[in-house]
Amino acid sequence: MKIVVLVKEVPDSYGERKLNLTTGLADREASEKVLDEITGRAVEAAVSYAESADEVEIALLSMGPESAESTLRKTLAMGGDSAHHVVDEALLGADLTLTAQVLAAAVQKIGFDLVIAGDASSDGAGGLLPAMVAEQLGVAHATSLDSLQISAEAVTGERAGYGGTVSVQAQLPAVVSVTERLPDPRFPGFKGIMQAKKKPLETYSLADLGVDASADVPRSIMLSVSQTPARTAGEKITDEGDAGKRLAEYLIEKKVV
Amino acid sequence: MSVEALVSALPEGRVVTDPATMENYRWDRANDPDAGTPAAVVRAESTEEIQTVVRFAAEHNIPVVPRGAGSGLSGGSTAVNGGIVLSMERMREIRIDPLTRTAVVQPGAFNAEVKAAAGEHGLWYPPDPSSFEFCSIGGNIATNAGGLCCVKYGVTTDYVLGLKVVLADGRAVQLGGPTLKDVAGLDLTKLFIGSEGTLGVISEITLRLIPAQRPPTTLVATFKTLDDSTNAILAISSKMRPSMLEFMDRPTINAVEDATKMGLDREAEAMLVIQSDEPAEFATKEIELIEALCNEHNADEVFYTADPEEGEAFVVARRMAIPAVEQKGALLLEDVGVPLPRLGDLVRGIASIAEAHDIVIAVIAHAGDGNTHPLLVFDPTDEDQKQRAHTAYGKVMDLAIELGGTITGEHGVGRLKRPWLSDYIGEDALELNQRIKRALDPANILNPGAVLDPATLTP
Amino acid sequence: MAEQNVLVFLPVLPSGELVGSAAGLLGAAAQLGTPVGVLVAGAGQGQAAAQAAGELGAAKVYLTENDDAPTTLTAPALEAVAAAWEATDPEAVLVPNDIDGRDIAARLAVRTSSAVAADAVGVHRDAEGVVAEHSVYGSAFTTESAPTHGALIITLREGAVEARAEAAQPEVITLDAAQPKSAAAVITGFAENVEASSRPDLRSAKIVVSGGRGLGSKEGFGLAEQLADALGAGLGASRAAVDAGYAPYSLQVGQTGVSVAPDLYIALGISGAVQHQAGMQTAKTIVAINKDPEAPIFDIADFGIVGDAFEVVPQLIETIKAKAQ
Repeated sequence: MKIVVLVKEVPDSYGERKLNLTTGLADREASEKVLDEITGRAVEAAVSYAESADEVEIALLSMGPESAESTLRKTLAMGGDSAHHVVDEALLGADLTLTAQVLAAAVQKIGFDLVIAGDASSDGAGGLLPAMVAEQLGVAHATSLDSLQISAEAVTGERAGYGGTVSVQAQLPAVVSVTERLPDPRFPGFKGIMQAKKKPLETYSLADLGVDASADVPRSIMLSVSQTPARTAGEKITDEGDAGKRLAEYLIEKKVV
Repeated sequence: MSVEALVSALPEGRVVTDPATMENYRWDRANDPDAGTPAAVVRAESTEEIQTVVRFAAEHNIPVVPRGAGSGLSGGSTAVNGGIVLSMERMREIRIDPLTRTAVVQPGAFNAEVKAAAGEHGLWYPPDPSSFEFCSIGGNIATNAGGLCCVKYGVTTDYVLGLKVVLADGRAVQLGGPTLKDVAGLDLTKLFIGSEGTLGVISEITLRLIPAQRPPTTLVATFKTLDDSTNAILAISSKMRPSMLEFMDRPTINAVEDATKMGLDREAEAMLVIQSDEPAEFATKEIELIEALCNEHNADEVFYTADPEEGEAFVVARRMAIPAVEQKGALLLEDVGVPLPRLGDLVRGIASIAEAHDIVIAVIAHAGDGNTHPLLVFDPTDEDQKQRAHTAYGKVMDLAIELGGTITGEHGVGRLKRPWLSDYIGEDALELNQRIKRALDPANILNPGAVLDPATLTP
Repeated sequence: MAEQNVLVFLPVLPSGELVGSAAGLLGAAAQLGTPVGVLVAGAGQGQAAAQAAGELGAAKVYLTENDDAPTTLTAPALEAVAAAWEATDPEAVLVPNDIDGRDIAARLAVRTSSAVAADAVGVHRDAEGVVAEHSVYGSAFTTESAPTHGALIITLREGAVEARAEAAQPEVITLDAAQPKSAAAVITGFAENVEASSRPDLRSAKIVVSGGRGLGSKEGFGLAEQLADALGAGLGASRAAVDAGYAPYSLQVGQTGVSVAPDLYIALGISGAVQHQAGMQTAKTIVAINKDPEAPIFDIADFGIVGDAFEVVPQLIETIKAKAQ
């Protein structure tokens, strides 16, 4: 069985994150790059399954700038078998549709039975990509799973639905995305780190994948970007026994209660 | 006393008397169940304000407990009933002088902030207690804190050039200064380093900085037997000074593996994490020699990397040790040190104490300088086990003294280790301590109860 | 120019009611053109749901009624929206930015080769057409996006749009349930949330009360519940409180978890890490109660109280109740 895990590098949410006000793109210089937290859990799901089953091969796939390579190496150290990096200048500022097309093309090229992704990254937070990739690949999706069981034929899991919890099952091939309810990722170990240096890491250009970024299809474009004025502190009081009353007066005066 | 008088003597917002907020200032990380309830907490913003507080305390004979970031492990900043907690959290200024390679720092600045400020000028402040991201430099001075790189670079006192100290009568004195050599009068600066707030309140520190550390080469080695590992440590230390030489025993390795799933060998009796920060080609030579010495002493597995990022991923195993063991229960954290040749005896002795008292003791050590941190794990709801842990805690200190070692390498005596102080330093040295304390703080208002028993200090 | 059709997918709850975000979705659609609802309801629930959609502004409703509970994931809704798309040639499609909505938008965008705008907080129209507004990095930045051409598929953040559409008497067009055109996962079970709470949904509530680690325990978290019930508010929690087991994950407000944009957000015992702020700082009014005067939440609070929530909140509830009488 071949599992492809979608890996994303994001600006560290503990630092300041910025958009470049001219291009509207993430300012990659402004903050440190880290493995998206949820990606770690997706990798963990694949690696722990590989430990429990025979002949499971894990390919790690990322689309991103040069720097994403070190993030891929880090995930390799957690236990993947190969890494695949789509890097092409024409992808700068790629919208969701193009990104999904590129990732699906790469997944096809690598070959897959199962694709595992995080449900939404900490920077994009769109949460659309996994299902878009599934539609591109023409396979079932089971997204935003709070639990995940993998078998040779199918995946099962639970996710939140309207008014309750939905149990779902998808026959392979399929695309799943997982939430932060999944187990914490392992830390890369000494052996894993040493082995990761020797594992294959392939790079692909758009031409390699047969994708034309300039094709005349509808794209989402950024019209404007502006920095929101920072929220500032308002009134701050120390409770001297009457703060509850004062808050009630404040809320009533503002007509919010 | 009337707190109002103190409030009106200080600028607005300095004094806190609200019980809910004061709750945050009663404990340090020793979590002393007998912590007192202060009458007020003062968040001072200048030396002058500290003087005002100390003068007020002296006048009304009220205890003052100076407090940095509250990360102490020996109860040195546990609040005292009816006293004033004097917090340095707002005094965080850092001024770097790259020309003289010195830093003038206020006591509330975090160790990590000092490191970062020095780093901006290509300079380095070496002492690196494990808590460096959340401990204050003032607390570091008060306890003469150590850390991981001390094996090569020394401890806090080796970097302190001068101090501004507020004395028990409210006077402020400047001791030492920015010059490296200074022999005018007694070395009073040293007197205050490690004095745990009992002799004066440190309000400003002049630190010596050195050129930035080179990126390290990192090695990890696992051993099937404890003896092999301690012999390897001795062999390494007798030939060179790595910039880090850390030890973890089997309970620690297993706790870290539980927390990280990084694939550590659960059967290994010991693991060493070693770094060399020599220039690249020498570092490789040094690490290769260390690798050979580890193998000579039957190391099971040895890995090393010259890539600093990978090296940091190796060191995670050590950094995770205390948090990982903390997940197993409540902790009593020891800080005993022995001369390096006795390290094996100490670690084996601790293992038999653990067995005899039927509790888990996980041992981590700054092995290169013989400073160990046995972590006694107990279930706080199991009264019997808790009792056994406390008994074992004392036994470990007795053992260290017996082996010619110390009851505290870098955490200080605080309130937690006071009962063992006299056994360790002896009656004469204790009496000297008491005389100095009486001379500098006759009314015993400065951090009473820390280090010395108040009953022995009555004039 | 003729009014343009704007498709709006309106999820129907197992009870037959529309989800709380329906009003905002139709309100947003009305700003762009003619709101056309798409509903997939249980047997016998359809007409009432369609009427409810009309009251919220749907001029037309495409309705599919299932005899049984859906057995495939996303597919019934996706095919219904796709069929309505065929019939109406819409200029925009609005779906809620929740799990099901995102799946529908994702598949539809690929299938129709359309541009998508994810997690929009508002919509408007300019000379060229439909524009989606976004709030990025915890509302530190505001961006606008639009399609180069074709329709725009938009997932709309719940509670973000305040505009409401005028009630309409909807034309109801019944569609037969279509066979899925894509491979789909199977639904093997549904467990209704046990705590069928009378509280408004966190995502669309006008007032949200959130509790944090500072409430000290699961029992202590009850204080947030009390205040929420007293104010008729939705209930939220910080990640620390969820991690400590005080509240279920479904209540987590923040960068991971739910983003909310209520009129009033009250944070009890929440220190306000940037990750939490990312999920709530678009709230109109923020109130914070925390013991720690240095807590970062105070930096963004319109009204901050340094104090013990367990003392302040009961007094607050009492005072508000007294004024109401």
